[in-house]
This record gives sequence, C-alpha cells and structure tokens, in this order.
Amino acid sequence: MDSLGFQKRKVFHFVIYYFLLIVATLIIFMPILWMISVSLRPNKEVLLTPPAWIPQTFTIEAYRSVLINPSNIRSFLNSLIVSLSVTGLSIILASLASYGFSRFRFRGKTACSFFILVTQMIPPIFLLLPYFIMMSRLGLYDTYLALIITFTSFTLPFCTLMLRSYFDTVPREIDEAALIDGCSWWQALIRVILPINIPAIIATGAFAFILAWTELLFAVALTQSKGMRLFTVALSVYIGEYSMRWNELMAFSVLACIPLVIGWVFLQKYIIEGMTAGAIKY
Amino acid sequence: MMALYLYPLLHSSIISFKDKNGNWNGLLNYLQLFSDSMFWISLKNTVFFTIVSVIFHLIIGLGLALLLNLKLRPLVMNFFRGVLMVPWLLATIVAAGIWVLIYHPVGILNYFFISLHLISVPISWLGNPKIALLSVILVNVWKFYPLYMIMVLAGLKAIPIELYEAAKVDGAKPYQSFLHITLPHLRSVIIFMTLLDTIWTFRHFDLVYVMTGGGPMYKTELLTNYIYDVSFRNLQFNYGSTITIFMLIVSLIFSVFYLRLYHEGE
Repeated sequence: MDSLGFQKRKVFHFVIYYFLLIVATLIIFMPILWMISVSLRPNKEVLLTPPAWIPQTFTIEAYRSVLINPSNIRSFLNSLIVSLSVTGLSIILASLASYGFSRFRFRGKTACSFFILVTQMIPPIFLLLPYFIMMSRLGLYDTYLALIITFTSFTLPFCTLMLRSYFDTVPREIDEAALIDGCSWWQALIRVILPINIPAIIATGAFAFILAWTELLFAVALTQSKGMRLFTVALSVYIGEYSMRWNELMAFSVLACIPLVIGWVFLQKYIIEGMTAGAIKY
Repeated sequence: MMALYLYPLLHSSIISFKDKNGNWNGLLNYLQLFSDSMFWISLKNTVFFTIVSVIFHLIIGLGLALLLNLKLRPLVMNFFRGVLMVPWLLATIVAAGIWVLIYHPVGILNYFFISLHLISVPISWLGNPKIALLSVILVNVWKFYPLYMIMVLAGLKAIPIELYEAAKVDGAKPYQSFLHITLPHLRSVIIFMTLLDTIWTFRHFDLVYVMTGGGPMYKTELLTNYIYDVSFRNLQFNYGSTITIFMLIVSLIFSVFYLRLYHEGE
C-alpha cells in the first residue's frame, strides 16, 4: 500500500513537472510562434479581432515581397559578409592572443588581461562618437571595413577570455613535446593546440557571429548609403515606417532568424559549453 | 585593439571638459549634470529598468534552470533548453518588432486581457506613460533571461549528485536540500551573473531606441538613449561625453566588484 502511494506520488510529481515545463515553454515561445504565424498571412488579417492563431488565408506573399526587393537581399548579403569576416577575424586574433596569454610570460601581462576585462564594462554608446570620428578621418565611413573593425573590437575581448580558459586546460607538456620535436611556437599553435580545441573555436566563432549579426547601433551610425545597410538597419527602417506592413516585417524577421537558428540547432552543445566554461570555475 | 579602446577613452575624457567651441571649461559640463532635469529623469529610469530587469532575469532564469535540471532524459532536456534559449538568439531589433506588434492597441495582448475581463478598454502598452517602461522591461526580461538560465543550469550540473543522496539518507526534505545544498553551490554563479547582468542592462540601448524612442513624455528614456539624443540629435558632443564618463564611472564601480570575484575564482 505504501509503495503504491509512493508510486502515485511519483507519477503526480512527474505530471506536475512536465506541465510546468511545457506551459513555461509555450508562454515564452508564444511571441515567436506569433511572428511565424503573422508572416504567413495577408496584412489585412494581422490585426483581426478576435485574432486567429492559424492564418485564415495561408500565403507566402509576405516572403515574396521581402525577397523581391533587391535592397533587402543586399542587406542580407551585407550582414553575411560582415558577420563572416568578423567571425574569421575574431577566431584568428583571439587564438593568437589567448595563446600568448596562456603560454608566455611577458611584461604587463596582468595589466593587459585586466584591460580586456575592463573593456567588457564600457557602455558601447561610449565608443560610438569616437569610432564615428575615427572612421570618418580614416576615410572608412560607410564601408564594410568600418563595420568589420568595429564589430571585431567588440567580439575580441570576450572571445579571447573564452578561448584562453580553454587553452589553460591543455597541459603545457603537450606543446612542449611539439617544440622538442622541432615545431616553432607558431606550428605548435596551429598543429597541436588548435586541433585539440576545435569545440572551443566553434563556440568562439558562433559567439562572434551572433554578436555581429544582431548589432544595430553601430550599423546605423557607421553607414549611410542604402547599399551598405545591414539587415538590422533595414528592419529598423521597416519598423519606423508609418504605414505598417506587419506581415512583411515578420517575414523579414523570420528570414533574419534562419541562419542563427540553423547554427543553433547544430552547434548548441558547443556554444553552451563555451559560454558556461567560465562560470563553472566558481 | 588597445588603440581601438584607448583612443575613445582619451578622446571622450578630454572633450568632456571642453565647451562647444573646443575651449576648456573645466568642470562646467559636470556641474551642468546636476541642474539637468532630463539627466536625472533618465538616470532614474535607467536604475529602475536595471533593477527590475535583473531581478526578473534572476527569478525566471533560476526557476527554469531548476525545472530543466530535474530528472529529464538528455534528449528532452536539450530540446527544451534549445527552445528556451531562442529569445536570446534573436536580434534585439527582431524582438522589438515582434513585441511592438503584440503591444499594438488592437493586438493580441489587449485581446487576451479583454477576453479575460481583466481590462475593459485596450491599453496603449507603449504609449501610456505609466506602463511604457514596464512594457519595455518585459521585453528585456523575455530576451535576456536565457543567459541566467544556462549559467545556473551549468552550475547545477556541477553539483555532485552524491551530496543529494547523502542528504536523502539523512532524511532531508527536498526543500531542505535545496536550501542547504543547491543554493550555497549556486551562490557564486548567481553573484557573478548578477553583477555582469547589471553592467549589461545598465548600458542597454537598442530596445528603447526601436520601441519607444524614449517616449511617452521621456518615461522610457534611458541614460544611453539620452546620450544618443544629446550627442547625435542636438550635436552637443562634449556634454554627451560628460554623461558617458559618468556612466563609465558607475560601471567601473560595479566592475571592481566583478573583478574581485573573478580573481577570487582564479
């Protein structure tokens, strides 16, 4: 009798628990479902009362009108070019910097790593004006290069911190062995350290990509021409317009999420590992 | 990279002591802060925004992490964790777009509350001075709680399971093991994340910029948005720099605590 009661209680707990989890997930996911649902209907159905969760007229018209506009396509391409460059650059520079921090002793090392931490505290708005002036003086205003340099300067500190904590876990003996076998430091990094840390590098790259892909403020401030717009800027123009084309706006948003969501599905494990690696230390 | 941060730092510090024509005017810009009512309003909004957001990030992140940590199959856990992280993945501009539509006077949120008879007239969520800031905070909470969730979850996973078993053998109730095992182990993760989150939320910009532009009646104007307005709309770059230096000092005070923790961890 007692064991039966125990069983019952266990089932009861199980049900309550799943119920809570599913309800919480639904509530949190609702806005995203609404976005997808709105993107698949004609604009006159968006603000119906009562609202329908399933579109009455199912149409991909909104996607078509977003994709038919060459400046939207251009903004996606721009975002892709900038984000991929930032990702590549961040991985290369962060690997070098973390390797230096992890393996060498040099003057001012503590000061440098302190400085990297401090950069995390600076409000981005603080950098807006100086970067604007700097890029204008260098003649880089309204170019890819301005965006790439700026975004990389945001991603680099965090990427370096992240990679360094991984490199620190690799025993020194491993690269010492490589050095004895006649590798240079440079080769030891490329042939030994990096291959061991592929998951960490994926996490770092993903992090840089997410940051670059979603950045808005600097993309607004450092570009001017329509041809240089990133998709975030193009979206903010959509939102700002007086006559709202909600279905197109949502279709645009869904399209903008696709690269991140695909990456997320495949790389979730690495990204979470990379982000939490620092936290578990405590 | 040093140059990319040092130059702005020096530049802003220098021009924050100058007037519009580039002449030195000592601490005049800083004194102006005290008499600038807009500065105080946006400071008040920012403090409120930060405190409320951080508290809710913590509560929701902690709650969901605990739910995810209960005996779930890895596949199911990964699925829910992946889905619950999605808001964090979205570009802020995308999140803002979705919520502007949800908050629309004839949008689904008003319909939902009206059909529950909680309100009789549609609420202008972003237009009502009393609730606009709270509406923006809700979006911020929705977008940024996942960071807490996975950090706490990682912390939970790091707690040795033997501790719970030992407690069970000793006859501890579930809430007792929560109080005496779980919370003490999470203490440092929570403090660490709260400090970091406070710094991040304090400097938040995008949501207000896109959703309300600081209105209605400056009720949602945050410090960063005020700096943007002062510098780029009114072109008072010097005074804008003064406010940024103020923000930087506040952030640095928090950072000192953060760095101390960081070094303790090492």
